[in-house]
Amino acid sequence: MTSEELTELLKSNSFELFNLPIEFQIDPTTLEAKYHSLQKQIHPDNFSVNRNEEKLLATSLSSKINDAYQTLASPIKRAKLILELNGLKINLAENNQLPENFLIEQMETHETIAEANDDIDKLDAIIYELEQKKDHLIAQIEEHFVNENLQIIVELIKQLSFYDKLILLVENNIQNAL
Amino acid sequence: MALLQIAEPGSINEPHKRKIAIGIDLGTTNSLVATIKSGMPIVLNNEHDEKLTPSVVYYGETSKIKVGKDALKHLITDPSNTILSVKRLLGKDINEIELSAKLPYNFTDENNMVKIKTIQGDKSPVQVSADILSKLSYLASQSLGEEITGAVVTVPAYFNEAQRQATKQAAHIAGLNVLRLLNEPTAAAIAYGLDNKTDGTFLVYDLGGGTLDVSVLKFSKGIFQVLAVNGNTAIGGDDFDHLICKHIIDNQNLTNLTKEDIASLIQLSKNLKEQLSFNESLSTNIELSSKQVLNITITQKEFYNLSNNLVNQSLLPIKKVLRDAKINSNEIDEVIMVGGSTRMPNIKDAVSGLFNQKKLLSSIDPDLVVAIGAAIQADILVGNKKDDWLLLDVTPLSLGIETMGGLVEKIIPRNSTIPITIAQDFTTQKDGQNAMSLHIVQGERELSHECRSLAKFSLKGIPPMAAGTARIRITFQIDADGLLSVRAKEQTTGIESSITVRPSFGLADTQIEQMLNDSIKHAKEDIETRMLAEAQNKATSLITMLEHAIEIDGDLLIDEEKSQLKTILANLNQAIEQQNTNLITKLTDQLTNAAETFAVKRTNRALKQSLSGKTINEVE
Repeated sequence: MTSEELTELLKSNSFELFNLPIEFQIDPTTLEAKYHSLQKQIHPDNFSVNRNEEKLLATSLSSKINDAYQTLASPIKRAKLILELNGLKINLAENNQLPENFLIEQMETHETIAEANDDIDKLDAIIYELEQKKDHLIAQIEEHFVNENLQIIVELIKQLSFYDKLILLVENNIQNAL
Repeated sequence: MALLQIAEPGSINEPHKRKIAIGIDLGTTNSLVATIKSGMPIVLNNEHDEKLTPSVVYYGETSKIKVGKDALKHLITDPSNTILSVKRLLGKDINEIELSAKLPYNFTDENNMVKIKTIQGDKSPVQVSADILSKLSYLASQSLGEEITGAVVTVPAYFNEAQRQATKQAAHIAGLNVLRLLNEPTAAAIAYGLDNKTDGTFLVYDLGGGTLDVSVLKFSKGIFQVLAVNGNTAIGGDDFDHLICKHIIDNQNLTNLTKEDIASLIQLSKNLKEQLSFNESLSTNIELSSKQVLNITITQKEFYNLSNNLVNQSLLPIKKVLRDAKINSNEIDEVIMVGGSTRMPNIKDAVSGLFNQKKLLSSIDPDLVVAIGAAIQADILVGNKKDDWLLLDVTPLSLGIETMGGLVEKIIPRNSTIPITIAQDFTTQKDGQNAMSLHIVQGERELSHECRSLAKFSLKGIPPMAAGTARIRITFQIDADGLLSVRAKEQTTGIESSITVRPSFGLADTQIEQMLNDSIKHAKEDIETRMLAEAQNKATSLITMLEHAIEIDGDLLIDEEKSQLKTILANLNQAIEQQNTNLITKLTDQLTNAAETFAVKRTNRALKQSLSGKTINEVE
């Protein structure tokens, strides 16, 4: 690949980079195969005896491929990107419109996590439950994408990000409890 | 033959030339260098015909530097000038060093730059490491007889940014072209993975002299993907030696031990530890500097009790890494054991116990496997083999910036696949604010002072704007070596802010330059020293020979000749004393010429003597 072609690739979005249609539904096996084949061509290890500029360019592009893979593999990031490509900006920090019962549930989960203390089995059970709720939300998001209810998806993504944060918190507690 | 040699370098007729690439395992206790020869990885032998070169550097009274076994000889007699386990000091500040194992060195600490006091001046851990690397590089070029294109140098996967930078600097000072810093467990997995050519998920447990690494990797369809790493850069085989040493000191109520005593006790403990892998009980004795003789007996059981805590501590990274990789212990296809310390049966049992008594993989010598993997990777990186596999590694620790109240905001989470680039926008707090400072840290803790401080950045030249309107985009990039670089740009005006990096520790670029210059100067000095020694040897042997000849056959010389020879002899002796290489060479030549007639006369006399008493027939 020439430097010009590499530079051109740097400007493309994650879907373009992976040559995939802009759709929420994605096959993880196809995604991984594409990721690996891209890295095999672009990774800076292919350029370790080349000039420094080429190495730097390869590093930038390889980073972009890693980032794009993370984006496409994560339902929340993938959904957010599709919305952005449709001109909808989402500020995850803006969460004043969340339903009351969702917020109450969040507070309860926080309490359960605190009660579990450093009991790894209990913490694992919490993660399992949170993952199930996440899956349920993702299924809803998928449906709304089919029906193009983009505004509803914005709200669901915010809820999804709350679950992600909770899972991260519990994982951290488990690491500390080990 | 000659026809084959006339192709000009770089011409199209030149047959595809293999480039020489080496893999270096820069270990805490031993270092190794390996390469690929005829498609097979081989670990190169040193001057003692051994593969393992002790990572020991001796700075003696003359300007000579000894590395390896020759340096180790000085450990007991001159412990403060014999530097060992320097890897444990690399990239650390004085507080971290004092927290780790007790070392018999005197440290200096200037501007967060730790140096070891030696008779040859203060030496930074980077310099000491560079001296080890120089030795290995010399060994490789001697052994291979060709110019080395590049080297892969291995580092513990759990090394932080500072420790990686320090390693790269050391390689740079040693004159190596670093193709890649490669994580040690990854190198080991490469050595095994390519051996077996089977897809699967591996866990590597790498217990070296001073560091512990645990990695989980997936090898699938030609991609080596590191899923997660964990470890502890403060646990190693050394610590088991120290446990035995402390046990001896406590048991025998030893006080007032000298540095030399402690050095010999640690060496003894190391030997005992190694022997206890094969013996149930050992007895030995040692004489201290006070002439007191200690009789020491230790059993395997005693040693296992002593080291129980340490072994358990070493299992924690396994549990953590499995958690991070989101993998169950029963999903691991092979557990690979790396590092000399994994020969200890109690370590093997403990690790195997976590995997349902699974048989551990150690078919490749655990001391050599990292260097072998590094050589395989180096060979591919210089382009000798367009291989169909690629390595995707991760960054071991989270990268973050300090925010209000000393809290850390994570920007790049641990175990992110590298290279990785993340941009984050910041804004100004006050109207017209033209500068801002940022503190970058590495680690998993929530408070910045509990993490490793990497650098403090000052952003200057921000255009005057109302508070909150400036948009400064800071881009953090971790490259394939795991090294960080940072750029900053004001987005609304497009002005690139100047950035000043003040490393919180370690070496500034100017210091590296200085060290490079010094090492070049040293190399020059070395050549000069060698030339002098050669000239002196030649002159001395000529003088001895000539003096002996004059004593025997002096009568062959007329007075004039004799006095001429004696004058040159005296001058030459003086030149030797003055260590004047040029003068020595000149006078040696002069003396050889002046003695020529004398030599002819002596040869004639010898001839006559051997002929006398023989018949003409015999001569014919």
